[in-house]
Amino acid sequence: MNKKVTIWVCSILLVLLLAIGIGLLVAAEHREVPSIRFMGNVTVEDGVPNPAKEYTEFVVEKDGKYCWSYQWKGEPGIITGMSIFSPEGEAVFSCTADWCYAQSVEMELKKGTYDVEITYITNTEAFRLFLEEHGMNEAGADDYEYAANGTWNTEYKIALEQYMLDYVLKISFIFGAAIGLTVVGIVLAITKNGNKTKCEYDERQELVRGRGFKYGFFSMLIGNGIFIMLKVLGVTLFDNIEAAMMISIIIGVCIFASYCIWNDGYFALNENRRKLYIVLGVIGGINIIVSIGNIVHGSILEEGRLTLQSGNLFVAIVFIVIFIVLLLKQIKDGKED
Amino acid sequence: MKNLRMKSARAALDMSQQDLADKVGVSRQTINAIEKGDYNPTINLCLAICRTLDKTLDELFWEE
Repeated sequence: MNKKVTIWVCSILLVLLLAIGIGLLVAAEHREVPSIRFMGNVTVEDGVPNPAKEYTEFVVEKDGKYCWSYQWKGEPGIITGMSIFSPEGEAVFSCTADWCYAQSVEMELKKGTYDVEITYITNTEAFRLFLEEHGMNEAGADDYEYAANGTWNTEYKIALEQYMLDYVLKISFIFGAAIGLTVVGIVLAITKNGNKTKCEYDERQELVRGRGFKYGFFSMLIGNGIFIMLKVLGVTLFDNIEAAMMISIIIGVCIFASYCIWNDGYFALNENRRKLYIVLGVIGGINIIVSIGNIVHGSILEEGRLTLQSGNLFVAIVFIVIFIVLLLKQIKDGKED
Repeated sequence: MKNLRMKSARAALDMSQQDLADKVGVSRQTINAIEKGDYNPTINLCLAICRTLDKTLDELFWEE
């Protein structure tokens, strides 16, 4: 494939990937979410609500990470306290407002039927009691003007949003990787020598690379074997299998690259080293910066498990190892010359 | 075992390792490895080197 065709193919692929990514995000935005609507009817006479509480149910169909999305627009005069209880009777979420349109923080919910309790609050004492019972901040509890009499018909809408950050992260990871590959393709198309894209290695380099692949492959096998043995013996180094797998891959890649660099089998005969150093530096630099950001924000680990974002850290480690071995090799060659 | 005959044949033609490498289509490090005796080239590469240095296989690679 010549240079122009390569660039065109990469560009079309990039546009397609972006379109699919945006399409998925838009579809996620408009997807159906489980929700309920509930009409609350309360009459207040001399500051006493009738009924004092109302109940409804919400069915969570599968375990997962969710955010409660809730809204109601009531007339001023009374405050609604809303509590949601798990099938085990534990309060998983509480809030108070006379009207609101908000979303809770994300939480793990189990499959089951959740009880929704609507409490009508018509005086400061009741409000303080509700806040105390639900461990909420009492600031501003005295400022509200309650109505002594009246009727309120309020529609409550409660919905369960799938925790979007995880979903967005997954999409971002998949398309980030795909777009990254496309960008690398374009860079290669721009930097390649004429129509030659295939790296040419001489017979000694082929031999070195073959040995490098062998050592990398066996290192990966040994790494996986050690992780499995340790797990069988009850020593868990990592909470999840992904981390162990990634570390094995990193070990294999680092050993292959280090062996090839050290034995002059890494760079092809027709390769422009300066351009390759620039490409390696840019990709490595981006991954290092992103992984530093992830470490600072604490998004590498989540409950002791490595997240998808830790991928940048592992790529950064590979580039750091390659850089160190290249540097040592330069020093060694300099001494020999 | 070092291949000093190849090194001297190259030097006699006033060629650097890089010049010879470019002419036979391998890397400079490969020529260096052959001269140092760290790598045994294939017969094809031996022939290419002999043609470039205007020597026979015996002159450059046959054990004495």
